[in-house]
Amino acid sequence: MEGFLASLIGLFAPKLFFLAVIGTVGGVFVGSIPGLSGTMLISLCLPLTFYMEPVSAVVLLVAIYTGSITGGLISATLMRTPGTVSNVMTTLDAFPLAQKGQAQRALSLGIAASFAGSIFGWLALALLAKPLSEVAIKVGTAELFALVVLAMALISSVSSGSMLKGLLMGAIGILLALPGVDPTTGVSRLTLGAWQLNGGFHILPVLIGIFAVAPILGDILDLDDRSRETQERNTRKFLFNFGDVKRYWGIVTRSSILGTIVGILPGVGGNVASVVAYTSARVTSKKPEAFGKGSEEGIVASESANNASVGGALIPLITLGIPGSVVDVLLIGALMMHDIAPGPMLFITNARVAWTLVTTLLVSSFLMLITMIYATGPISRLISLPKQGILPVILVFCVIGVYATTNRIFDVWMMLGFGIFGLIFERARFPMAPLVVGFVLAPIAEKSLRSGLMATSGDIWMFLSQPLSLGLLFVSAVLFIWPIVKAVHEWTSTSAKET
Amino acid sequence: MSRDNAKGALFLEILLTTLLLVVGFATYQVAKPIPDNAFEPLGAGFAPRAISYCIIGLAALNLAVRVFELPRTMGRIGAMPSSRLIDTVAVLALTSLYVWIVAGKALPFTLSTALFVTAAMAILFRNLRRLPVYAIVGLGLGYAIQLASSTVFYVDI
Repeated sequence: MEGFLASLIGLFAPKLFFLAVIGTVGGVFVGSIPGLSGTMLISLCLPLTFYMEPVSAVVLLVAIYTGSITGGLISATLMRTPGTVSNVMTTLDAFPLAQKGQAQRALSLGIAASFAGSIFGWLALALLAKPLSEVAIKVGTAELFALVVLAMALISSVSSGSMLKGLLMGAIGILLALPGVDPTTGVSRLTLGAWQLNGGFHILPVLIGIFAVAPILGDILDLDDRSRETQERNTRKFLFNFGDVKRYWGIVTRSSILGTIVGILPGVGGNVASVVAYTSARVTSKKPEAFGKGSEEGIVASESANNASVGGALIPLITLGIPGSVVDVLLIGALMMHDIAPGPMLFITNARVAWTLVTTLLVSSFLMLITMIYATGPISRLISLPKQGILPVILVFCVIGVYATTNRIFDVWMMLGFGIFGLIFERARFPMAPLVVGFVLAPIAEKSLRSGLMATSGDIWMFLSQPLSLGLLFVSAVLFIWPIVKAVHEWTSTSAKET
Repeated sequence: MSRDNAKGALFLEILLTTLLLVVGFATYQVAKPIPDNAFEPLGAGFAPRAISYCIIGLAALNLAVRVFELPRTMGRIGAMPSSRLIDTVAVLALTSLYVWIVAGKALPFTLSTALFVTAAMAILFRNLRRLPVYAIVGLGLGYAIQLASSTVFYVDI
């Protein structure tokens, strides 16, 4: 409690509060522009955080994260184009409601639900993070290895599109983490003779390449897509009252719980959370036929769930060092640049950073509410800025950001390479999230596996003799094998039909 | 995704999966000579070899599944290439040129940034009459970054 209060008070220091405001407003703005996302803005800000204290970096990035999830609501309502993938389900009902002349009502409901979900996620984070990390400290190498394997299996199996492709991209992510001088034996591996790879691929070019350059190139390819319709932009009134609280508290609570739980699952973010909550709300609704045609319940369910997932996703990051969402991978990257290892020891070795993660989510939730109420009108006008003018500017920031951080032009080339790689593979519907999660988690998995085996003189049964690690590895094996079995089943059943 | 685009994505997926299969075999070949069992049970070569098996297995399975889907899409070939494909390639080439110029310091940073932004905007807007506007934006951006790099971040650009 002492650490929490100290961090909360510290957050109101002018510099940190300024960063929280800038981050939230920037996140809302970028999140509201279709094609740009909070992930992209966080990627671009990573080099900037290199020059900041770790606490300042955390404040800025978490504030962007919170703002961007909600910002997508604006374009989802007014332009039928979700600003981020987390707002896809919101679009289904918010835009039809806007078409009926109730854009203000749709936005107000979305904003209130987002705030409620965000606070719920924060509560879960604040209540669970410290106790769970105290338990996690007792986790040995066998359990840690099993947990990381489970995280990789989960992200691959729930990634968009084919699970088999998710697994394949996860494996490619692990492969990308392997080049360099092996820290245990000093042997150089998979460097192909390039001395620049002795330290492996730097995390920044990989993240910026995949999360910023690839979407920019994708946006250029889709520039002629003119399928947007725009609704009224007079959004100054906040149409929400206590009657709505009474009417929707059940949906908000249920969706926020679902959002938090989905957020805790490694690698799964607000997009899955909103789908799960939306589906659940439709099933339990008295008017399921209204969903997709402007249902207020649909907007509330989707928005509260995707915002609650932010707090949920931060729980595994703080307690285990495992990313709860793709954005968490970027947060881990930011902490790694400051030589801070997220995980159970964070509350002991860097308590201020850990508590700042928790308190920033609370403060930025309030800032997000204020921003959305007062700035939705101006932002809705600004999001019509032509992308043709924005994209080259962002490309310059990508190039300079990577160069400024690593001081190696090799990394800039790598960033462009990963950008092209990301674009081509995404066009072929390969999911990118498993790749980055594999890239970040592979070194932890390898280290815990090898140090565990060294401790037991190579006795592999150590991993199977502990109940927790055995259970986690069993679930992981099922998750790994399931996509393969499913693919083989589909293959054989289709061939049987055709013959 | 339209049917044509879905078809195009399937062909691209088969091509890329084949490439990943090759990557898997190449990784195995490169990882084979890495010594292991130095003073610990696994050694440095275990992970690369294990992951190469995974990539080969998964890529082969994905390839088999997708190739099997192929006959159902035959006769409907003709994915619509994006009308902006040339623009994308041009911007990518421009970016590479920009990186090369920045790396070699062939031009002052502000000027190279202004040239890059002007050219990229001209390609994307397809409106040459506004060239001076693009140039002003580029010059402003280049100067701002140059100023920040020399006074705040101390980056040698």
